[in-house]
Amino acid sequence: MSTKLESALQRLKEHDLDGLREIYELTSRGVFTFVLPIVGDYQLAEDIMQETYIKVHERIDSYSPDTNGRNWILTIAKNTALDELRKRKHEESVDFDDERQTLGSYSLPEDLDTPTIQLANKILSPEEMEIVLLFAIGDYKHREIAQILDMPIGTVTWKYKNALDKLKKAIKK
Amino acid sequence: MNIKRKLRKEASSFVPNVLDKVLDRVGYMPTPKQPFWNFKKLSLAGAAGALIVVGAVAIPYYSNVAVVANAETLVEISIMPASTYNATGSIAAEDIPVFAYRTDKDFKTKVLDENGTNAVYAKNQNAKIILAGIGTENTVDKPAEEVTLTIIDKAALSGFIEISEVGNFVTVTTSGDNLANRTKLEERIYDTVMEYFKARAIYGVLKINGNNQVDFSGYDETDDDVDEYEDDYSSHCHEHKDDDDDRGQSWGDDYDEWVDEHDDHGHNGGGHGGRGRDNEDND
Repeated sequence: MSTKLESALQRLKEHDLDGLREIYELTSRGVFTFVLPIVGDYQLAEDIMQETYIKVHERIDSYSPDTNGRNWILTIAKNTALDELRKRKHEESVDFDDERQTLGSYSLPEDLDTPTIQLANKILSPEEMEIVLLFAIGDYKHREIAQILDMPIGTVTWKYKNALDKLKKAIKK
Repeated sequence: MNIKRKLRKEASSFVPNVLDKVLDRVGYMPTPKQPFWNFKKLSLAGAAGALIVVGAVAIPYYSNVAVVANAETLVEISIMPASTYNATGSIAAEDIPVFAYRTDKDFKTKVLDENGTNAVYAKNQNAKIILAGIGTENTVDKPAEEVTLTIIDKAALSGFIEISEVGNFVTVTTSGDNLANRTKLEERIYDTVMEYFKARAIYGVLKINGNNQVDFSGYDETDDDVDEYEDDYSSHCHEHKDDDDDRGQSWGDDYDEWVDEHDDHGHNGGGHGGRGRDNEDND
């Protein structure tokens, strides 16, 4: 059975732009929380999210209905993010040892009204923060997070629980 | 204090909304509404005359239509007690009661037709059973969250909401042109329904537009067992969201996995203290 996302992709393929709106509503959280840890910067992640959906629109003809729609979109998002990092690396002569950003915390706008997320950003390790973002905000499953981060699923759930414990303690203080 | 609840409440503020920019860049134009008058068919003089004659009526009419259309939101609600899933994890779509209503700019329900018979539309037989006996005094020109509660409360009385550890899924989907209006309405409904669950200690999962917003507020959060159950159940609900059976949301091919998880819930008595580590560890 076709899912809502695949149906929306099919609608967009048939030049119905309402399909793009639905694709966005179904996937924007997942795309943003996927991209933010890669680039480490909120504003840049926002720009890349925008570019991702533009590319989804531009490349919809290459989408095949038997393809997992989410994976297709995330591949576009990842490539867009990595392209942008490479471009910046070239422009700024910054060394990136790894494709994934390993900064201690993300650069978030100060005016965000998200105190718990901002606290998490301060006290959690980058890995814990990424797991919390992907699970609690991006609605990914633990198994999917394990695939994204290339780590055992038990480690993901353990780190997630640790992260929540840290947050609870920090809030109690 | 529930960290996950806090995080999920903040999610909508945290994730930027670039939809308008995207749609603008790809040249999206909303489908134009049918014009009230086809002025092209009128001569210039005729049009001018018509404008003078009907102007006093037509201008307020257009203004009113624009405001109402822009502010109107369609709300659809479906209710699924988790135990209705059978051993194969499937539930017939027609068994899930589905309701719909429209709201105006003040989030009040609008009658379905000129007769003003009701504001809530029962989309299938189970929904009709639940709505039986609900009169216009409960549904017409009422705050949306109040009508939503009326529906859920009647569903509970009819056995479609279970006061048990198993869990209940209530899905609310909104549609309409005014995104800001919809967001406000979703917040109001979310807060009201979760308060309802909390007051009755119901394991309730309210999903707005397919987004997971999971809460088990009726339980003592200092209890470690409850925390563990919350983790499990939260994962469980995430799994459900990703089913490819079109009940929840759409991305993933994990229907079987969800069924396995659901079976595990059943084998362990469904209670919040009956499970150890997150099931996903055992995958």
